[in-house]
Amino acid sequence: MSGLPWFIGKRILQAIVTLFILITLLFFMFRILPGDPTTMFVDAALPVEAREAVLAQFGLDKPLHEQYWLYMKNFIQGDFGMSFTSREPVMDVIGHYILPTVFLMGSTILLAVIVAIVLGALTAWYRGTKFEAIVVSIALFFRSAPIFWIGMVALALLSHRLNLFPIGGMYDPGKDTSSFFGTYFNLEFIHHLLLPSIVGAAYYVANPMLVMRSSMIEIMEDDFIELSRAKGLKERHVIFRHAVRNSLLPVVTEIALLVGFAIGGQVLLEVVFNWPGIGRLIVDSIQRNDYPVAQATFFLMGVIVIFLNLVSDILYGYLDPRVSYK
Amino acid sequence: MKKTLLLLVTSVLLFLSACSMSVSKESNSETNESIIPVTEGLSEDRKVREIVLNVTTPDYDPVRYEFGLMIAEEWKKLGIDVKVEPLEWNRLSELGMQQKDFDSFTLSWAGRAERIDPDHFVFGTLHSSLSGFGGYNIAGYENPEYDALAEEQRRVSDPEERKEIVKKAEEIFLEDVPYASVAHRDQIMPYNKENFTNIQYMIGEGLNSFWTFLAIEPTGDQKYVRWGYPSDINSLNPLSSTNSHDFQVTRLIYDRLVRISETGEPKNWAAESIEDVNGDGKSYLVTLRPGMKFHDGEPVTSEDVKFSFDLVKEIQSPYFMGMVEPIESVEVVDELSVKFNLKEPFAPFISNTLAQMYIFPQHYWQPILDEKGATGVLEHQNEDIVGSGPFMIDYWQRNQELKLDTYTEYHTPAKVDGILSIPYSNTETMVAAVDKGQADIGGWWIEPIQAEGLEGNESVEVITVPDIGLYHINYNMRRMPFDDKAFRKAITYAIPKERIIDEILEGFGQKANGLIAPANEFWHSPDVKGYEYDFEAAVEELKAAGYEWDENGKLYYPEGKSDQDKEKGIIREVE
Repeated sequence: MSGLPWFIGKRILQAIVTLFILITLLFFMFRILPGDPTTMFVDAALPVEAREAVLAQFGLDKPLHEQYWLYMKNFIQGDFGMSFTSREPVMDVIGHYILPTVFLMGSTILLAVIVAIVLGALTAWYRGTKFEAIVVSIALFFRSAPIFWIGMVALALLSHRLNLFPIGGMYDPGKDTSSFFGTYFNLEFIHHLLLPSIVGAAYYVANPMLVMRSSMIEIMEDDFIELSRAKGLKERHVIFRHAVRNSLLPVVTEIALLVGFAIGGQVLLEVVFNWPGIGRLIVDSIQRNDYPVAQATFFLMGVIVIFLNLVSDILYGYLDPRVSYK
Repeated sequence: MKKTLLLLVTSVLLFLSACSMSVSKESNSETNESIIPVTEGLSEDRKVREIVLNVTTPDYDPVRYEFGLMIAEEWKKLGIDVKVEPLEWNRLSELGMQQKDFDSFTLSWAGRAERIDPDHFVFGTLHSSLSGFGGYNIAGYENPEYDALAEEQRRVSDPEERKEIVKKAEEIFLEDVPYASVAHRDQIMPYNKENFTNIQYMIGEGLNSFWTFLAIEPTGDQKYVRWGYPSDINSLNPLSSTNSHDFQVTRLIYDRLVRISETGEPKNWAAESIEDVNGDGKSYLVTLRPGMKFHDGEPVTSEDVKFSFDLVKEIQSPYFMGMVEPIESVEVVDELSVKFNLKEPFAPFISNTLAQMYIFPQHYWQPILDEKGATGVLEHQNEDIVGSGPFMIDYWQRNQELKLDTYTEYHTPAKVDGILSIPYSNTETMVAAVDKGQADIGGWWIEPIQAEGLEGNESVEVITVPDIGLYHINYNMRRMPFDDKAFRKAITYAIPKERIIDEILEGFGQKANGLIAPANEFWHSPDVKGYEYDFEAAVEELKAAGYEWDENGKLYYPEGKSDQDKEKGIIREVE
């Protein structure tokens, strides 16, 4: 019993157990948190009876183990319940916010990875030069500063002072957003997307870049690089055709980790740049004690991280035939 | 040489810091402590336990956090051990509002149109029937004499007569001090004066008021008013919503029989006339304005009005169910008249029921109710929301924007083409948008420092509206030492209200005396005397009640009294 199918099967089973534990933890975690979804009532000065009625409508008046049982039963059937604040099925709620997040996160990570690979390769190639010292210090500076801080400084300088970028949001108020293409494929959207993507990428770039750099340094000492040079290939050719390709392997795992990491940063990016995505939904749902939405968004994060780790493990074998699945 | 220089610098600094010390009466600590008499050989048993003052986190509300710290300092001077404990709002609301597991805590009743009527403050926060789990009588105040007045003001419909009763209730409240009024905070809100003119605002609501959007006029090409707010709405279905911003939006789409005017009085709106049929305040005949239509063209009839009141009762709609509580039955008289029969006279009926209820179209909701029942109505997303108010829905893109178009056939049409309601992630991003000319109205009160930042902007005007909201401190009367009136009075005298206004609110606020804010012009009685900061009076109050101080200045109970429960001082459980 070995080989790829067995390996994948085992890993999927592991993933399922992990997710089960995760959803259970999430369920109890949010209920242990102080307050309940009716803490907002104080603000609206609703009567005591209203609070009781709402708790009953949400089933929160039942004992905890009964609530858990019901939740798990629905969960297995793919039903994440109803949002407490909008009384809409949780999956529909997430559906409203997912696209903006996919676009922002996708462009951030893409930008970070491309820049990381290029700079990682170059810093390795020009090891010991001033160029390397400057690039590495800048990358580490952005990595060490909190993402929201970089975002705020960038906004203050580039948007408020220099008027180069919009101050946030996905487009200027009053734009027609009825069609998908009209919303996401135009210059205005890209203009709004640019600054948060750059800020996010600046923050994420250091890790994969350093991994790329050390991997590259190792590869550069290999014989085949020597050989390519001996063949008389151009230096550029040697770096990008031979060295970079062979150094990419560890970066693949790093990217999987980066995505998990980026979800956390996404929350801050969306708040600072007023981006209408999942990140703000997470913040709002926790503040409003909207358990079903909060649970589902955290669960979704867990699924993404676990899934990507699985994919990177499988991809490893494909990219490097020396790796075997046991 | 260096040493002398250092010495010189230090002494100059010391001198300067001494100069900057305020000489106001409220911070003159030395004389304060010396007026406290010392008794030796007090029994340890009589020592007043350490009390906790819960405040919000500075992040949730810096004002409550700061004045909590300031007040605790004053209480310490009275010889009380005070621990200031900041709590997350959710936790504070659970412990303080629901379980009543606290000693004292700072709270704010936000000023809203429905709180202009004194019933919320006079009855809602103080009647003994509301002191149980979850009730808003947080202090646990129980005084039959007060209860009688609180009930009476609900029955008397003549405003002048009612005002007298409210005043009497306020006087008893001040004598008993179940909670201490601290301040009324001004609402500071920005708008773009270049794009819009004829800005109207009302107490308790500021620029978010219904009247703002009805009156506002464009000056140029910007025909849609862009209304910024630091969060999105939760839902377009007011029948299940519990979020106050949702109602700031849906009240523009649904019409009301009565609306609270800019100055706070109820004003007939969709109702043409309201008649107290027998003059006993038990039945009201409401006649609708003729010719009103819902946004889908159907006429607004008395059937819709009756349906609305019956609907919210049947489905237990959280926001509306309390308002329909006083109603026994609703009868349709003819197409435009409807009669409300109340269980007993209820003075706030017009301002808090008729002025808050929406008119829901029966033809829209009845099929949903028939098909899917109460749950179906509560879970209905209502994205095609149909009302008869001045604005109709165009679209709602979550966390992006909500577009409302002006309903031109409305009886009092708005002057703009519509409203773009834009949610921001927080107040900062909202203020930045107003500053940048991307939003025309900042729909949240901003901090004085943010207002200063907008000063240089020629196109932005910042308004300051006195508020009817109330910052206060709840005392838990179910616990020692707060069960003692003398103790409560003493610590209330020690609240430095003037410093709170000057230093924390930077002048944007007023001292709070009683329950009703001065901004609430009709219901406010200026001759009601509250508590001014008076440290001597605080000490006198305690001395007269028999409290004593040891040589360390710590406070001791009067002879024969001691904390039974050393930790929390509980003497009465929450029911």
